[in-house]
Amino acid sequence: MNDRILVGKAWTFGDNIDTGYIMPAAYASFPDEKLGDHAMEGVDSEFASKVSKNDFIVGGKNFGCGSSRETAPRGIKFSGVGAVIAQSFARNFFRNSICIGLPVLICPDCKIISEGDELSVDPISGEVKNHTQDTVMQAEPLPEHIMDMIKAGGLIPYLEKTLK
Amino acid sequence: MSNQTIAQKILARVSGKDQVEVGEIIWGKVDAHLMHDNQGPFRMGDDFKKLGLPIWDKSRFLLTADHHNPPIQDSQTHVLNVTRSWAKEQKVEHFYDAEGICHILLAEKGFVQPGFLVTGTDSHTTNAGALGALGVAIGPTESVGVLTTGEVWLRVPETIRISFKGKLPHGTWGKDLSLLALKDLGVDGADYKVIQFEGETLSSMSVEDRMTLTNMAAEFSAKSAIMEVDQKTEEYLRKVGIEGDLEILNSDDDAQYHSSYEYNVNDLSPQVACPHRMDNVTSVENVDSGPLQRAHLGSCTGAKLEDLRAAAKVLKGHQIAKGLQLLIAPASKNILKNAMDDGTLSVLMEAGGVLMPTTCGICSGKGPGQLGPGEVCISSANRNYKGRMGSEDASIYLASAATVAASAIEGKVSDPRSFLDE
Repeated sequence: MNDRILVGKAWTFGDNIDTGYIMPAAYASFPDEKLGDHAMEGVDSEFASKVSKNDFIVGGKNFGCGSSRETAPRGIKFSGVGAVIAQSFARNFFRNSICIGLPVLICPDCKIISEGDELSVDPISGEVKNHTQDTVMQAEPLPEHIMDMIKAGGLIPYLEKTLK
Repeated sequence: MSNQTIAQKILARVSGKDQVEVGEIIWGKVDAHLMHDNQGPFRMGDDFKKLGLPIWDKSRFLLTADHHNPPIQDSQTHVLNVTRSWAKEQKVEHFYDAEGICHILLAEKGFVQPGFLVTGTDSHTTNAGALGALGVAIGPTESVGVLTTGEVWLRVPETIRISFKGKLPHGTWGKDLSLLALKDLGVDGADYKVIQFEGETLSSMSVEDRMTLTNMAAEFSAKSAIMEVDQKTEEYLRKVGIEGDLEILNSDDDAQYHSSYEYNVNDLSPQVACPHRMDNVTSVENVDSGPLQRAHLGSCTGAKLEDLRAAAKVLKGHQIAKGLQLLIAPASKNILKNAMDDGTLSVLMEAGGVLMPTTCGICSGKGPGQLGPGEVCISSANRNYKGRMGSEDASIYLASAATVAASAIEGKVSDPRSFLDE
């Protein structure tokens, strides 16, 4: 299997998950490496202790709405989550995730994914395989310059390549 | 050029094109950029250093220390100190330390002009729309890109038109209009889209009150918000020191909109967003809040001079209820000074208010006075989800400053109209 393919379990959440639920304001002054311990704390206080490396968050509509705090995707990334899949994202969360190198996939059909389903995800091609349900989903394609950023691993490595 | 909304015209100008189409990706030159302590050097300083490039244009860059300021824990002191050292190291020309809330300073200090593209590391950067500028939020990592290149990529968004007809009735303000529309469109109603506010109701409103509408476009998940410029906008801009010709852009008659909403506001009652969502809105007479422990006049959307004056009109000659604290955090030092000069502040203090720092305070869940478990608050701020102002087990009602003031007197969510002369 291609080494960019992420394999893990699905953790499902509802619609309009606000960045304040993803990363409560109390942790705004915490350094990055401590944010992971508090990911999703506003909706599931045990999430950080349950999640395993490369698991997936599966959201509903407008995932990451509210404040544009980058600690939200950073916390998810540092909790070990490999990618976030949602029916739709709020734009601030979506942009921030791409900038910090957290793969985000828009999958309008992802509601059929159940908590605990075993998934494998290709963040570049956008293919989402559900091994538990034996189904395959395709995430919406993204514009080329966003893909360039994703392939580089985020905005900073991308700028390091293009500005120097 | 035709078929273009104001938002499209701004994006065409900053990308050097005659016109742009919805869905197109453009690279735009940024006219003003904002960064604050919470989404600033503490998160992006190392990445900025890694690139080793200077700030593209220091005259167009505003840095504020408003979210963690003044600090209530050591980790916040650290964030502030990192912010201050970075400002010094980079020779930032416009750094404001505990002077006011970023969006208000951006306007008051003359960084925003009609036709501008404004980026900021805060969702409420949409506030700039009241001055005819397109304010767009980004994160601290992307801020590194803007600071080093002066450019940002944007997908040309669709525009939603929200039009208000009629005269703003007795006891209502911009906040009530905002909540009215939020009830309809919902918290995801404008994701990736620009809201264009328009209609005769706006003409009678002050520029500050119009900012409540563009600021709270963020609560619809909007990418940005915009309004046409009129005489009042121009007077505001001249007052903050902007000279020379202004770039006045209007939407073309045949501009294309995603959707249009129209509200006749002649019979509007004061509106209240009930816990725990900004679109959980009803008229004040339908609210049965039970006892409140906190009333809060604060934030970039609810503590401008006009908000404080509205609260003072209600509170004059009254005392706040026993068992309730009224926290008042003017949105900038300039607003505080004006409120001192015209007597507004005395009225608020005599009624029993507590004066707080001119920063974000409890609105961003960081300052002193946060809510404890089981506490109930009414606030003139912009968000009320669980945990926004402290404990996840607290409840927040959102309303205009006048409704907050009336509720502070009664000790429960109350109608301001009975305290105001017609």
